[in-house]
Amino acid sequence: MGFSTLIDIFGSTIIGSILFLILLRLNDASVENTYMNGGELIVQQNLVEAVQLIEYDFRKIGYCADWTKIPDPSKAIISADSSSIDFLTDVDSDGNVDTMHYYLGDASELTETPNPDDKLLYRVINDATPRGSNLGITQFKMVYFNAVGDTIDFPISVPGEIYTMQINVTVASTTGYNNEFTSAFWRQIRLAARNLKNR
Amino acid sequence: MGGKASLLLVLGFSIIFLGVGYNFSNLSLRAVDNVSDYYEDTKAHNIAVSGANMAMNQLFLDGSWVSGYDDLPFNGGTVDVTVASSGNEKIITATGTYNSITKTINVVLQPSSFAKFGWYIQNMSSKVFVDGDTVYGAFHSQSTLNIEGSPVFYGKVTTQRGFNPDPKFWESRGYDPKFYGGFETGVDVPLDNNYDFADQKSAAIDGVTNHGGSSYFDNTDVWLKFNSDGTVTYRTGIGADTASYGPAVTEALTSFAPTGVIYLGRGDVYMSGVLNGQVSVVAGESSGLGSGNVYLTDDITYLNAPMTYAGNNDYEPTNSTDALGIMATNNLIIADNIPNKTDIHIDATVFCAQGGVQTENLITQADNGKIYLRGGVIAAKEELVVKIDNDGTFKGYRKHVIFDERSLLTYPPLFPTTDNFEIVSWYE
Repeated sequence: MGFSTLIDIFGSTIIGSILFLILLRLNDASVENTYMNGGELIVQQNLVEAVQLIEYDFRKIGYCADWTKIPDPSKAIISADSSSIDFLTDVDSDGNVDTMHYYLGDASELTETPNPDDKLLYRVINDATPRGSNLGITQFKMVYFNAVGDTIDFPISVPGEIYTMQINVTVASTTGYNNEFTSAFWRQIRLAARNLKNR
Repeated sequence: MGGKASLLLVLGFSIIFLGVGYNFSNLSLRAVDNVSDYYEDTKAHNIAVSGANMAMNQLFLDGSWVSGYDDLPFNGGTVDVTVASSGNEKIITATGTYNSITKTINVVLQPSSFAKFGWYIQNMSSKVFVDGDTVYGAFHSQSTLNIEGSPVFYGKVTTQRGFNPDPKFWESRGYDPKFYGGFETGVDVPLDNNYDFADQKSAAIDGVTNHGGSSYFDNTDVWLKFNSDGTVTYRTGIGADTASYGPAVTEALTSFAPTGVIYLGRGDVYMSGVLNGQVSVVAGESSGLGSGNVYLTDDITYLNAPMTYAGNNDYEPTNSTDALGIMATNNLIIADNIPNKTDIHIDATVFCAQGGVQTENLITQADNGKIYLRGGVIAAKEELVVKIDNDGTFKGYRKHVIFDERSLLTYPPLFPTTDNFEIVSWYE
C-alpha cells in the first residue's frame, strides 16, 4: 500500500510535470505564433495602405482639375531619383496645381523602434512640413523607363523622358519576436501615369 | 477519479487548442481579406479604365457618339459609361463595379488643333533625322519617322506607320534617339490635301461684309507689313516687285481684319513686320504653284516674345498674347532678297496644305545663316531650305525651331483642327 502510493504519487508528479511543460511550451509557441502572424497581418495591412496611397497619388501625376494649368503634362515630373520623386498634381481636385514630393527618410530617424531598417516614407505637399507615419517601410525603390522601355540611368537630367516607372516597396514589422522581423514586398512592374503622355 | 481527471485534462486542452486555433484562423482570414480587398479594388479600377478606353475608342471613331454603356458585363464585373459635353469638351465618366466595389474614371477630351504640333509632316519621303537634330514640341509623321542616328525629340512623337528602321535595330546600328515626350505609333492624323480654307474665307468675308473690315482679297497679290503699334500696312498688285502696286494703306489690325483672318484667294501674300495682336494670314484657292503661297520678305516677329529661355534646353512660355497663323495652300517661301541674306526670324504657326517651308532660288543662295522659328510647322511636304553641294558649299538656312507652348492652349484665329479629339485630362 505504501510503496504503491509512492509509485502513484511519483508517476503522477512526472506526468503532471510533463503536462505542465507541454502547457508552458504550448503557451510559448502560441504567443510566438500569435505575435508573428499578427505582425505579418499588420505588415500586410500597412503594405496595402501604403501601396494604395502611392498608386492613387502616382496615377494622378500631371493631373489638374483645370487642365489648362498643366497644358504640357510631360513636364509634370520635376525630378526623380531612386528613392524620391517630385511631381505636379492636384491633390484635392480644386483646380490648383500642387507639388508632391515623395521620399524615403533615413533609418536613423527611427532609432526607437527595434527594427534597425525601418524608415519614414514622406509625402510632402507643396511647402508643408514633412511628416510621416511609421508603417515599417524598409524599401522604397523607383526604377524609371523611357518610351522604348529602356531603364533610365541616374541621375535623370530630363524627367520628361520618364514614360513608365517600377515601384518597389518593402514593409517590415517594426518590432519582432526574438528580433525576427517579418516583411512583405510589393512591386508595381510598370506604372504609367496616364496624364504624362496625354498630348 | 483518474477517469474524471483525464476527461478534464482532455477538455481543458481542447478548449485551449480551440481558442488558439480560432485566433490563428482569424488572423489568416483577415490576411486573406486584406489581399482580396486590394484585389477587388484593383479589379474594379481596371474595369473602369477599360470602360474609359472603350468609350474613347468609340469617340475617336465617331465624334458624335454619346450612347455610353449601361451595366455592361465586363471581366466579372460591370461597367457604366456616360458621355457628356461641356462647350467643345467631351467628358467621359466610366464606372467599374466588382463585388460591390466601385471605381470611377473621368476623362476630358477636346477637339485637337494642328497648332499643337511643333512639327507635322504628312510625308517624310527621304527626310532623315540624324545626330544633332533637335525637335521641340509635339511631332507627328503621317508616314514613318526615319531615324539615322540619335536625334532628340523633346515633345511627344507620333507616327502613323512606325519607325524606319524598326526600333529593334537601333541598338545594333548604334542609334540612340531620345524621346523625352514619349512616342506612339499607329496614330492617324490625316492632313487633307484639298484643304480649302472655307471657314477662314467665310470669316474674312464676314469681317468685310458685316464688321467694316477690308481683309478679303481675290485674284491679286497682297503685300503686308505688320507694325508694332497694332496697325498693318497693305498694298495690292501683281508680282514680287511692288513698284507697280497700288498705294499703301495703313489701318488698325482690329478694324482691317475684325474676325482675325486676312484671306487672299488666287494670289500670293508677301509679308513681314512686327505683329501686335492675333491674326491668321491665309493664301488659299491656288491654281498650281503660281499662287497660294506666302512669301516672307523679312523677319516676321511678335511684339512681345512668346517664350524665354529657361536654361537646360527648356523654354518657358510668356504671357504674350500675340499670335500669327500663316496658312498657305502651297508653300511658305523665304524670299530671295537682301534682308533675308542674314538669318530670318519667324514667330508663327505655319500650315501648308500641299507644300512646305522652302527657300526661294535655293541653288543660287549662299550660307544665309539660320531660320529662327518660334511656333510650329504643319506641312504636307518637307521642302528644302538648305542644300549642301558635293564640295561642301552650304546654301540656304540651318533650322532652329522652338515650339511655342502657348499653342497648347490658344491658337491663331481659325487655325485648322484635326477633326479628332485629344485627351487633355485623365482622373482616376
